[in-house]
Amino acid sequence: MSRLLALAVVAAVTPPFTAPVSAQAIPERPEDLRFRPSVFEPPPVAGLRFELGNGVPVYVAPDRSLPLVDIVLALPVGDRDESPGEDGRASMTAAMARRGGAGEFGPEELDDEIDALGARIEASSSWGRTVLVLDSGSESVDQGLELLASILFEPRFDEARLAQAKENLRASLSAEADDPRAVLEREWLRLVHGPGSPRSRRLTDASVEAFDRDALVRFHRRHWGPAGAVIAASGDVDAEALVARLDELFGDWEPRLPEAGGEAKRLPQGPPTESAGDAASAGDGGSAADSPGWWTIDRPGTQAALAFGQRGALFDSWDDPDRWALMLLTEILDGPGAVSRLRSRLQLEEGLTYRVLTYFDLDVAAAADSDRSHRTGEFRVFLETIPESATAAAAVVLEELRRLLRDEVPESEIASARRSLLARLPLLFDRPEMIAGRYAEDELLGRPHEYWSVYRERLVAVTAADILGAARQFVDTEGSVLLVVGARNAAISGRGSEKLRDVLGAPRPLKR
Amino acid sequence: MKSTVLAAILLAAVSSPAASASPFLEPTRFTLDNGMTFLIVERPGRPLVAAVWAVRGGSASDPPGRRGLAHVVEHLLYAGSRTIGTRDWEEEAPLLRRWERLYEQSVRRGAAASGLERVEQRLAALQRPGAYAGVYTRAGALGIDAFTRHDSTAFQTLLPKEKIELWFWMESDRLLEPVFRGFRRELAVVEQERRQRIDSSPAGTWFDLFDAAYWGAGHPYAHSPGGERLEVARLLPADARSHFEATYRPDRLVAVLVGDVSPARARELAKRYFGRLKGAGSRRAAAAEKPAAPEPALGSLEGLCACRSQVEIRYPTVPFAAAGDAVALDVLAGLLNSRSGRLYRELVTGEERVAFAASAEHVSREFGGYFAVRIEAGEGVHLPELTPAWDRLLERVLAGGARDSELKRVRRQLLTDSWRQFEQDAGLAHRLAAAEALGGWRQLTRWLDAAADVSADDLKRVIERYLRPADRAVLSLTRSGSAGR
Repeated sequence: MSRLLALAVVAAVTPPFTAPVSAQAIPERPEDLRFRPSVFEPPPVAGLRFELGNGVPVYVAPDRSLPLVDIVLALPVGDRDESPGEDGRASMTAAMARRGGAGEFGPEELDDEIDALGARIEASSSWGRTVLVLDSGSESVDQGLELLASILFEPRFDEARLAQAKENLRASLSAEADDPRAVLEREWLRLVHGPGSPRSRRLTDASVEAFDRDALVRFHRRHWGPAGAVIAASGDVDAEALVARLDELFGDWEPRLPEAGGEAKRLPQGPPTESAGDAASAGDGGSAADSPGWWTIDRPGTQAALAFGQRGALFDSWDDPDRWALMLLTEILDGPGAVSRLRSRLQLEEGLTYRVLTYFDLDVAAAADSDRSHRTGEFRVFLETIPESATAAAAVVLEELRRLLRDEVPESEIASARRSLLARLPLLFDRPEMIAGRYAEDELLGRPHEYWSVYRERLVAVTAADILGAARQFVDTEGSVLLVVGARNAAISGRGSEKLRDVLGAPRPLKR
Repeated sequence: MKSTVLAAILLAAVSSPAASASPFLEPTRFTLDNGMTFLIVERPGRPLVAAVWAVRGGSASDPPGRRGLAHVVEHLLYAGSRTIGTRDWEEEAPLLRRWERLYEQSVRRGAAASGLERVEQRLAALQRPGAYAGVYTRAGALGIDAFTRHDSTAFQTLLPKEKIELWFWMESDRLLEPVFRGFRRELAVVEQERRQRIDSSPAGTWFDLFDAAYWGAGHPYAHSPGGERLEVARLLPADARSHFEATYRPDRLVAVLVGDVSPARARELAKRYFGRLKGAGSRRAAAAEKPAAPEPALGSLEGLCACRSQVEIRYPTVPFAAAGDAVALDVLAGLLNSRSGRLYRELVTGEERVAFAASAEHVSREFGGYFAVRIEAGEGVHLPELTPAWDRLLERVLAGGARDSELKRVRRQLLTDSWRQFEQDAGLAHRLAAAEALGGWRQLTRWLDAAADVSADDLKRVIERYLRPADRAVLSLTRSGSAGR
């Protein structure tokens, strides 16, 4: 097709952006405004990826608008890698690597060096990853990187700092009992995953006692290797020069584990195959929650906190059709951007709560994962309300879940949920920092980059029947947990309590 | 040696006023005939535009007996207009007036007036709660939120750059003819918000009470922006309307757009849409009505709390300014904070070692400011040991002065911190709006230049002038055993 012809075709099918004559007029309704079509496409990954001598991938997104540089080094190591009795080891190793001195610097000297650069270096660890972050002005990035390398390779785990950290942790643990949200968190995880699961393991005085310098040195030596590590860099940098510098500092880092980090897997083009549907909703345990039912923890106070839910979902593939369906289901139930079902009822209609927080973990197990039961996260609806309204609010949550299990969601609601999910997509790639980070994360998680280019079309393909099917496979209200932390008598006897009893049984005080 | 010299030159370059934030922040500013101000920061390539508008006026303007009014109005502004939020405005309007009369009677009598419920039901059939957010989310907008602060109230939206005109339509529409629907429900939500933010945190209620004791009854900052429960419950729609009319005037409004939007286009749309707002008063009128705030009462407070034992020591200082003592106090906070700062080095890890954590903050607002130091007690440390330890620290700063290396560190941190705040579009939009409402956005960069000039002598001066043991208030919270165990 000639270029001219192509232009003519585009002109013929594209609606006019603005009405030419009444350009200055204000339409009566916002729906009458005409916009240039906006279809966000994630920025191309091509040209962003580099590799160090040892195969560690580096994603660089330069942005010279401010004299700032962000560098993130992520390792696929976290709580999930702790053996029994090692609770908190991953987080403590990360925290003390930063705080306990490194290389030639003692703890105070290291803080001095970092602060004098006006930089920030932080290290932290969560369920599945350990992250070291350098955030500095561009003129000090070189010195900052040397400090970062020092923390990564030669942390000193200073004894005095460790002793102080342990003392603080013990104090925090005893303070945790005073915070209703912390109590809810801890007990909720035990009810859903069972007391033996690593998902519900929490620090105790005994596990804090077990942190000694040798334990941290061992954890660091065993788990902090280049296998699976990724680096993301953004800001005021020249990509080639930065990668060369990173290679000097991190390119000789030797693997401690036999298997090396591979490139991100590729998604098959076209519709996914049928065989992807053998996912399990509840890990190896098979039930929605370890101890289903209605549980209460008596707490005096003017506010009750409650959580309703079960285990999350686990898939073999990022592209499992049920995974896309559950993303929409969560959005319909309680999307942050849309006027969702829970928000409409709890907030707009009844004014029962200020905010509802819902999340549905849709984890994907790597083929290499030996222990799949630990991979499953949670599906949780959390809210706070006055104790007298706790049953009414929980009953609304229950009703809405049962409605999702009973009826197909109307097309208009699916469309609105889809719009809302797609509207948030640009936020994931909003700034160069996010772009480099997102693509590096793909590689860390084994998520193919193509995930983002099929994102829109996969969501568009989900039907009402798909959502109903996924709900029936993955949501189990009878097998769920309702945990209420609040003034017990008020919190179990309000409106809606009969409905909750019918499904979950009588409320039981939780013995701790 | 060579590299040390080079490093010193680099440091000097960074900490000199020449290397300020200014070159990185040059918004286009314009003001409409009605007095409304716009700031546009063009950032090509961003898929979303961060759009924020703020009104000069927050909880500090709540009238006596109506604490929480500004916050309630913030919520009500999401109820829509004559166009948005209704199925039929012609039919709704008289019903809404009748509902308001009945509701007013009910509040005055303390019992529901007859017919209130019936009118409420008829209204429910006509109204569309959530319609305002619905229009935005259908267009792919997100981050729809609002914030009531002491001196200002801000409303934010993030939307695809192609649809920026929708923001002009929606925001000018609700400013032009807002309709405060669902009044009763919104009072309940505001009440819930307060519980969730303040009442359910162990120390939250105490800090609220300390604000009241520190500033003293009747001071504009004596209550939290969230409001007072009993007074919120008694508010009437007429209160909300009169607050809206007095406060939400174009000459008190600032709008900021950050993203891929051209200043020329923004100016054209601003004129067309916001130009419709009527300028009710002149700038001079707005300036004249600023009341002189009373001196803080400096009331201290002691209590038991299901939290870590801690003290907060507060000293009255000066209102917000991008110069002089206000900036020196900000730098002093920088000297005390961070891991190489004095608080951490001397109270958390050093000789004194009395604290689990400690931080300093200079809070400066339109009608007054204070310098606050918060110290959480370390294990086995008694509360009465904390304040003397802080006093000794201050004496050491006065005796030895701030070292050059310390000042360099603080300047550098302040500079990179401010660049970081410019990085994120919505954050920058809020900062610009707040600074413009407090007298002009240039104060952001002027403040940085002033901070770079603060000397050790300046720090000594402000410590001697403001941080005097005789002029302070202290909140002391002792951990109350093991509540709820």
